Amino acid sequence: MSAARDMPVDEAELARRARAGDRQAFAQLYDRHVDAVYRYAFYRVRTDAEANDVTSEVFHRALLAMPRYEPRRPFLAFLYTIARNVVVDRARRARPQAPFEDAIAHPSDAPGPEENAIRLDEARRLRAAIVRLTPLQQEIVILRFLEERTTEEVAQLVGKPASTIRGIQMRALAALRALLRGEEQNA
Amino acid sequence: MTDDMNEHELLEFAREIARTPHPAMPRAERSALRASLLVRPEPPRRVPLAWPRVFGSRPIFAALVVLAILVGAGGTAAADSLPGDPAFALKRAGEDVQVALAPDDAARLDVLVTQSDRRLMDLEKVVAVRASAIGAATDEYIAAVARLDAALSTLVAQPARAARDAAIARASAASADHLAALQALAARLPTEAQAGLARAIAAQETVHGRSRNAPGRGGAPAPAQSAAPGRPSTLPVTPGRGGPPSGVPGRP
Repeated sequence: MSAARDMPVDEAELARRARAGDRQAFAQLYDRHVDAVYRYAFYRVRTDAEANDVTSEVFHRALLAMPRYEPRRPFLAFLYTIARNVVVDRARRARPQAPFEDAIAHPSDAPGPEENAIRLDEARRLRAAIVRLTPLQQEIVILRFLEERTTEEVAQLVGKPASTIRGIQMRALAALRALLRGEEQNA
Repeated sequence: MTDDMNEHELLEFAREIARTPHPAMPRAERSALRASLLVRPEPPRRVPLAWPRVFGSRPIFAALVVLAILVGAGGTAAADSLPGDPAFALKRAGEDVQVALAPDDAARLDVLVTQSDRRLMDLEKVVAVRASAIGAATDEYIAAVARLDAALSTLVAQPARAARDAAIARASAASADHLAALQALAARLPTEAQAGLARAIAAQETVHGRSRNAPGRGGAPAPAQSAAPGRPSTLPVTPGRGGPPSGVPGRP
């Protein structure tokens, strides 16, 4: 992940201050990145409530881990790494998850204005397809095509060679497209 | 899969999904999370000793213990030690000094919350790098939570005031985080360590229930699997291990 993209000069300073215990600086980093973390969580889990929980856990873990944060590393990459771990930890727990059908039938945990609900329905439909991909494909689709990270950034985040990412990303797109088409035909 | 679909079509599809409206965290949750991050207790870090207080009115033994830690060529090793290490007793002695030097009960609770954070980090670390010490780390964590619970009980019994309420709120928020972390840790622990972790969770649930229900404050949100406000105040005791953890009579 390029420093120029994720670590503006003032963000580096914010990260240093947050690492030193400045809670307001951490809050500013939160303001900058909560949307990206939430989007990642949203597409990696099945319900909006889970996405809220994951986002909350990511930032609380980040706060706890700040003394170990390496300031040269982009802060968003640090958060993505924690988010991946949180998602994996939750998946490993023996807690029953909301069935896939339930996630579609009851997509909104917190109904908002109608316009927002319609807009969100598109995202939820996409999520319902993404969660059927393999975990690696999910990450590649989310980070590479929804968050529009470069192949090299995605490779760094998921710990795979860029060539592997390039090889998988087209298969992931093809699988996702097939899932969405299948859903359209079944509708 | 890609045989019947050329790359151009797939990239066009990628652009199409990229135009999907971005989901955003609901405003209320977003604000609540931000607020909880602002009030959460400080992450564990080395707390500088208050030298004037050490050499002032506080007992001489405090200064002697601090000097023993610093001069005894064990300070750095102790700071990095983990439960089960010989130097860990020194680290704990230093922490007890910090508790003794706390100016009031609210500050004492904050110190103990920070120390329980450290024990949680110790536990997470030994799970990752030294499985043989999981039992000792779990016991130390439970002992830290017991000390925290005792200080919390003292503070809860006092009349409401700003410093008291804030300290209890911080303890409650930290407790919720600990419960979430412990529940996450459960998935990574071997079977033989699960019973110890269950005791740790039970101990932390006691703290959480007590801090949430303290008179004079609304309480912090409960974590997903936490429960048990109103549990009995007796914290679980570790049976069958090689002696009590540090800070408990019978062990240095």
